[in-house]
Amino acid sequence: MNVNTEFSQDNEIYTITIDGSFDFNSLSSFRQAYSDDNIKAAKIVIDMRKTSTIDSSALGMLLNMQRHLNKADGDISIVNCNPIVAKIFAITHFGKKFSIS
Amino acid sequence: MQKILVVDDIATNRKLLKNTLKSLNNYEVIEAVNGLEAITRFEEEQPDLILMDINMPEMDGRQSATAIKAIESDNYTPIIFVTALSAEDSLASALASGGDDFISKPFNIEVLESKINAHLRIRELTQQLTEKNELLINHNQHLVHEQGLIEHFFENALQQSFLDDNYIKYHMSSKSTFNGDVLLIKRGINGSMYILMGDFTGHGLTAAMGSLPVSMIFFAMASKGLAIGDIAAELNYQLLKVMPSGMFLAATLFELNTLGDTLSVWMGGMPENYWLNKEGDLKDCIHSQHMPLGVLNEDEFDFSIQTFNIEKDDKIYLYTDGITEANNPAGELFGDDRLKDTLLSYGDNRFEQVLTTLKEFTDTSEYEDDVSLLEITCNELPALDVDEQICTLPWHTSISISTHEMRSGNPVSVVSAMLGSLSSLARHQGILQVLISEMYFNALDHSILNLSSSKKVDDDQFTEYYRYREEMLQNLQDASIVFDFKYYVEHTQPYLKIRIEDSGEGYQGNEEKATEDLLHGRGLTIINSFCESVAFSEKGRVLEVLYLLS
Repeated sequence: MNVNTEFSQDNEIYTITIDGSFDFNSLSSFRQAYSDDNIKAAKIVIDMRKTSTIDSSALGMLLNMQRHLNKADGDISIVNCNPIVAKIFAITHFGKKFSIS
Repeated sequence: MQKILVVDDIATNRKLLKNTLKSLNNYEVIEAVNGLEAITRFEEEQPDLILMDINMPEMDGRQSATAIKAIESDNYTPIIFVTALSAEDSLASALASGGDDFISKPFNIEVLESKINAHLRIRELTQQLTEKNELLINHNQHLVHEQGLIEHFFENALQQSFLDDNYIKYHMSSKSTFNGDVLLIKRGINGSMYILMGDFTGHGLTAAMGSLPVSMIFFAMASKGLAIGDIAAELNYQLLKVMPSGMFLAATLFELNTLGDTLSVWMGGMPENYWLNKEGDLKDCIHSQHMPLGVLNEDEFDFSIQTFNIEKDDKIYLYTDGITEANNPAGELFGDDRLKDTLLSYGDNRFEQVLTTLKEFTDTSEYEDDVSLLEITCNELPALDVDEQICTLPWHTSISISTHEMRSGNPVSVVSAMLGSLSSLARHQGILQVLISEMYFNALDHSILNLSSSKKVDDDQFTEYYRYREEMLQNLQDASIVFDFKYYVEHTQPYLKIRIEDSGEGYQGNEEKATEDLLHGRGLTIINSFCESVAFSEKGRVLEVLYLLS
């Protein structure tokens, strides 16, 4: 499990990349990724290009992050989902909370 | 030692000539007594030069010369008539019959010597020329052969493309046998259609060379369903390694998802793409955002992509600059506007119309550059042909997870990797991992640890929940979770039945339904959506689900 973070050059976009399966075992590293106060003003993008699967505990972590950062629905983007990940977001209606592509 | 054939019916004449020749340059001298014998001797001995009398019995010198010249191979064998004839007509007819020169009897030795030397030199030059010609012919045959092999090689390398008329129309013409433009199309394991259109700097074989590594990398990565940004990064890295500097690949990479409603694009150094809706109106132009592949170092490379939402029957046009930079005889460019106008002024045949207009404009059968045009019709993609054989042998296996593994390891990923290593399940590993994970955490958290996930309400409680869970887990004694996997085929459909039994108090998912805001309670929703059937038993200590391996 590997969570990486990166600011865009203008510091406006903060990207979190999750490598492998996004599940219970990612809890602490994922929480770490959004604990920095600097990111509160930034646009947050979660890049799932390297994420193979997610489970319901990861869904909880995403919602928890949204709440922790006080972001409005649709403010946090989740991009580059593989079909399985996209299907799980669709089943659980995550499109209402996050902008998913 | 050079060999001279002396032909004369009179022995004294032959002897005189022979002695003279020996005194001149120690030539090897062979003899014939008439024209007929001369032909035989010529064939047997391959002399370097022939001194021939004209009037002889059996066959005279003229007929003999004609015959010898006719059977002579590529080599030039000079025939010098030695004659007492002085009538110009006779001499002329002797030379016309195939002789190369003549010398009058009685001959002057110096004249004879210089004539022999001159003709032998011509013969030598002719021989050298013949050898050089042969060498050239061999070289040429070798090149043609090699070019054929390379063409075959390229055809094979590029042949894997997915070309379905319902989605793809394309045209590629090259300035030479080998094309500096590349068009590769492949379906990924995820069902997406991957497209690469590229344009190497230069033309011909040098430009085409690069298409080999490009096609191999593209086909391998696309079939695995990898992200186009990553494919672009790998292509960039490999091209940077193998190509001479100053050579690079302008390229567009597309991934159209299975539903045909999302298009991801990485574009570097290519002219803009035109995106038309069903009615043929221009929706957008997609522009390059990057440098061509093979220019930037690994750490400078930008693999960010653009994503577009596509509607059914939208069409996208990709082309290489060979079209817009084509000249007409007056030196005028075809240009972006002419291309755009043609695309927008015609209906369904606009693809063909662009090619027709271009041909009429350039007024030539030969384009200046490689010319490629591609039309993509966006639509839901056909299901992938699954060529894997269904395994008809049923099997059954069980895995017990003890307290120790629950505490320390990550049993879900181990079990999922085990299942994924079976060929009949490999394609489903992602979903199976999701199912196993949901079932496992349901059993562990709710049945064994008896935690209520409704406690995960806000961030602090969320953290608290997991802290508390960890504590419970460390104190846990003598618990077990057993997975049973049963694979079987029914009505030609393969199924996997997954049963999980735990030593806890049981849990049936009888909490309130998950709403949008709750941080928990989605596990069963996910399981339900992927499975044919889901059933609890033994007061919730057993959960059995049926997954169709379609």
